[in-house]
Amino acid sequence: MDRKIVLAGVGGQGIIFMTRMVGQTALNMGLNVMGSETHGMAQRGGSVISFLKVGNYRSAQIGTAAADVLISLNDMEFMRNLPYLKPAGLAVVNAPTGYRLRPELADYLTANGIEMHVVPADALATEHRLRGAVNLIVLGAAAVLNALPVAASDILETIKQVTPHRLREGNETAFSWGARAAME
Amino acid sequence: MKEDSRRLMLGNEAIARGLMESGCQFLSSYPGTPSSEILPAALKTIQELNLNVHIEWSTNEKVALDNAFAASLTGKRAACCMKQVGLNVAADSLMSAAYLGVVGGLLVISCDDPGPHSSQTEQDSRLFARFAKVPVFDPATPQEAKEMVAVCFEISEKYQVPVILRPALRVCHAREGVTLAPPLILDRPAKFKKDPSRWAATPRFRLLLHQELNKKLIALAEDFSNMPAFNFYESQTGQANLGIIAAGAPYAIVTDILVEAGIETVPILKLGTAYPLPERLIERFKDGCDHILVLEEPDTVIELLIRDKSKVLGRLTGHVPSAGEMTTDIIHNILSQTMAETKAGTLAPVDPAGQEFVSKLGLPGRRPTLCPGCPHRAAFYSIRQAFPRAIFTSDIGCYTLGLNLKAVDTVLDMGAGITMASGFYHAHQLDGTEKMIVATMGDSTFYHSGTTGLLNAVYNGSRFVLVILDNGTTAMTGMQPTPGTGAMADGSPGNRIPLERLIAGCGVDFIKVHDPYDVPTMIDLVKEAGEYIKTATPGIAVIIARHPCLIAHRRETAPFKNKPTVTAGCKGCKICLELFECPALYLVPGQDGTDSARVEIDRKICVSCGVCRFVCPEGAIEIN
Repeated sequence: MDRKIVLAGVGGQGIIFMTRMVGQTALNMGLNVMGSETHGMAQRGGSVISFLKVGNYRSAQIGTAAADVLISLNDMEFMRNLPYLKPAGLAVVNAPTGYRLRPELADYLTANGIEMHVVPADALATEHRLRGAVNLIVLGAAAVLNALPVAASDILETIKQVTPHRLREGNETAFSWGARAAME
Repeated sequence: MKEDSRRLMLGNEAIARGLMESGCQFLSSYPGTPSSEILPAALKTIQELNLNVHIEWSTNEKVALDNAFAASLTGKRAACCMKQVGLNVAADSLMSAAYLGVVGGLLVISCDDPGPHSSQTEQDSRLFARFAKVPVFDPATPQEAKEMVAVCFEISEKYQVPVILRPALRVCHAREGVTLAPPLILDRPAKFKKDPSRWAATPRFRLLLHQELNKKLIALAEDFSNMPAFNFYESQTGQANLGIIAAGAPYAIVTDILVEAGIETVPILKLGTAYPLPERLIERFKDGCDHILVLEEPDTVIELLIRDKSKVLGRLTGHVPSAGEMTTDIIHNILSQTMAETKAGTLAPVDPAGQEFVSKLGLPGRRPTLCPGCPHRAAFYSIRQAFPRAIFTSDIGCYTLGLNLKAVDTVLDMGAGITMASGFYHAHQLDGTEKMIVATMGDSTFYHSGTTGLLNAVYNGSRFVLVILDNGTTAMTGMQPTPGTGAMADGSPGNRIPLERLIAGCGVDFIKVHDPYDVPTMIDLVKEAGEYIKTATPGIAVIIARHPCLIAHRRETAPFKNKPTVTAGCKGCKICLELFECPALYLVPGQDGTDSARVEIDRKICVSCGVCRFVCPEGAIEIN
C-alpha cells in the first residue's frame, strides 16, 4: 500500500524516532521505505519535518498537496505544513482537548475534504507521567486511525525491539494511551 | 554473525557500511552537518563485526585528509569524510594528492548542503573535483551511495587517483531499506614503498605528474560512459522533444514526478559521475532528443562541461534557479514549464493555493535558539553587559546563535572569530581609534583552527578579548569529543590537551578560567580583560568560559536546584526575553488590556539553572 506521510513538530520532540518506528515496521513487512529527516542547526528548537514514503518511490521528498497523511506534534507546525496535505487527506495533531480551529482554517479543511483528528498528547503525557513520550502517544493514535500503512500491533512490536529496557514500558504505555484516546 | 538482509539506514549509515564492505581500514573525519553520522555509524559496524580499522576524529579536515593519504600510501584502503566547506580546509591536501596519486584506494567523502540548511555556502563539491582533476561520484539514494563506495575504491586503485564521493543533504539524511553485504577483509600489511621522485616530487616532476593525471582523466571519461550501474537511460524509439539529464537527489525526484504523472515521452539520462564527464554517453543520449534539460544541484557542473550546448536548457539558460535547494515543487514547476516550451507534453504546475492560504495565516517563524540552561547564553549575556558597544566577532557552532542575544556581529568561517578580531583591531588602529573587540569561539572550533589565528594575533600585536566557550564537546554536530576532553572517536581515552596549555603556548599571558553561570563575576572578568588589553603586551586576554554542554554531559550537569519563579515585581519590560532569550521564558499578555504583560516560566523545559535571576533588572526572578 503506497503512502506518503509528513511528520512535523519542533526540535527535541522525537520526530525522527517516530519516523524510524514506522519505517522499520514497514521494512519488516517487506515494503519499500524512503524517508527524509532534519538534522543539524534546525534541531535547536526550530521547526522539524520528516517525510516517510512507503511504496515504490525513488525520492525521499514530498511536494505540495501530495501527502496522504500529516502527523504533527504541535498545532502551529500542523498549520505551517498543511500545504503538503492532499485533498481528502488525513491529519493527526497533538492539541488540547476542545481545541478550536481558527474559522478560516476550519473552512479550508472542509473545502479540501481534510479529516482532522486531535490527540491531547501533552495532557495525556502529564496525566500518565510519560514526559518525553508525546511522540509515541500521537503515533499510537495515528496507528489506530489508519493513518499508517502498517498495523498498530506491528509498530508496537518494533518499539519493543528497539527501545532500551528502561524506556520500554513507558514507550509501550504511551503508544497504548494514544491508541485508546483516538478510539474514544 | 546474524545479518538481516535489509536494514533501514540513513544515507550516511549506508556510506559507512559501504566503507566496511569495501575493506576500508582507515577513516578520519571532522564533524559537520550533513556528514557527521558517517564516522559514528562506521564505529558501530566496526564494533559489531569486530573489524580492524583505525578511526579518528581529526582536529580538522586537512589533517583528516593528510592522514588518510598517508594510509593509502601504505597500500591500505582509506577514507576521510567532511562537510562541503570542510573540503575548502582540505583543499591544499586534495589538489596535491591528485597529482601524486595513491596506492591503496583513497576516498574523500564531501557532503553538500543545498539550501543551505546548516552551512555558510551552497558550494558544489563536484566543482572542486573538476578543480583538483579527480573523479567524482554523485549518489541519488542511500542504497546507491553504498554501492558507489565500492566502485570508488576500485576506480581509485585502478587509476591510482583519489576519488570524491559527493552525497548531498537529501541523500545523507534520507532513510531507506538498504541491502547489506558482509564486510570485506583485505590482507594488506602496511608497506610504504619509497619513491621520492613521486612522493616528494619537485615542480619539474609535478609537470610530468600533471600530464599523467590528464591521461587518467581521458580513460576515466571512457570508463564512465560504460558504467551502466550509475550512468544509464532507457532507450527510446523515435526522437524525443525533451530529454532530461539528472543527477543526485534531483534524479530521484524527477523520476517520481514523471512516473506519478504517467509521462513516458520524456527520457532521463541518469548520471552518477559528473566528472570527468562521460561525453560519449551524453552525446548518444542527446542525439535522440531535440532539447535537453539538465537537473543537478547545487551548482552547474554537468551543464558547464557539456561542450555543445545548442540543445541544452538549465541554469545557464535561466530554466533552473541558480540558488537554493531543488525541492520537489521547484523541479515539478521547471518540468511543467520546460515541457510546455518544448512541446513535450503537459504537466500541470504546482497549485500554490495551499501555500498562499498558510502564508496569510501569519504564523510566527520559529528560529533556532540555544537550549534552556545553555552555558553559552550566560557567557554571551555577560559579554554584552560588560561591553554593549564592542565589535563581537564569532564563529561556527551552536554559539552562532549568540546572534539572537545581539552578542554576535560576524561569522565568516572556522577560526575567523579570532582572525577577524585581529583584522578589526588593525583597521581601527590605522586611524588611532580604540575599539573594544570581543571574540567568541567554541572549544572544538579552537582546536580546529584557532591556534594559527591566535599566534598571528599575538605575533602582530593585536589587542582584543577572546572568550572561549568551552562546553567540552562539539555540540552542534552531535556531541563529538574534542582533544580537550581527551576521549577518542571510539570512546577510549586519548591524550588530553588542555586549552590552557595551548593558549599559553600561543604566547598569551592573560588566561582566566571561569564558570559563566556565575554571571556577576563573569561580567567583572570580561571588564578586567578589557582593561588589561589596553596596556599589556601582548595585548590579548583569553577567558575560558567553562561549563559542560547540558546535552552532552547531562549526568554531570543535572539536576540543578535553582528553580526560578517570577514574582509580582515583573513589569513586562522584556529585557530577559530580548537579551537573554531562554526558551523557557515567555510573555503572558495582559488581561483585557488593563494589566500589563508579564513573563512566566515554562516548567516543561526549564532546567532550573537559575541564571535568569541575574538578568531581571527588577529582581523579579527569585530562586526557591
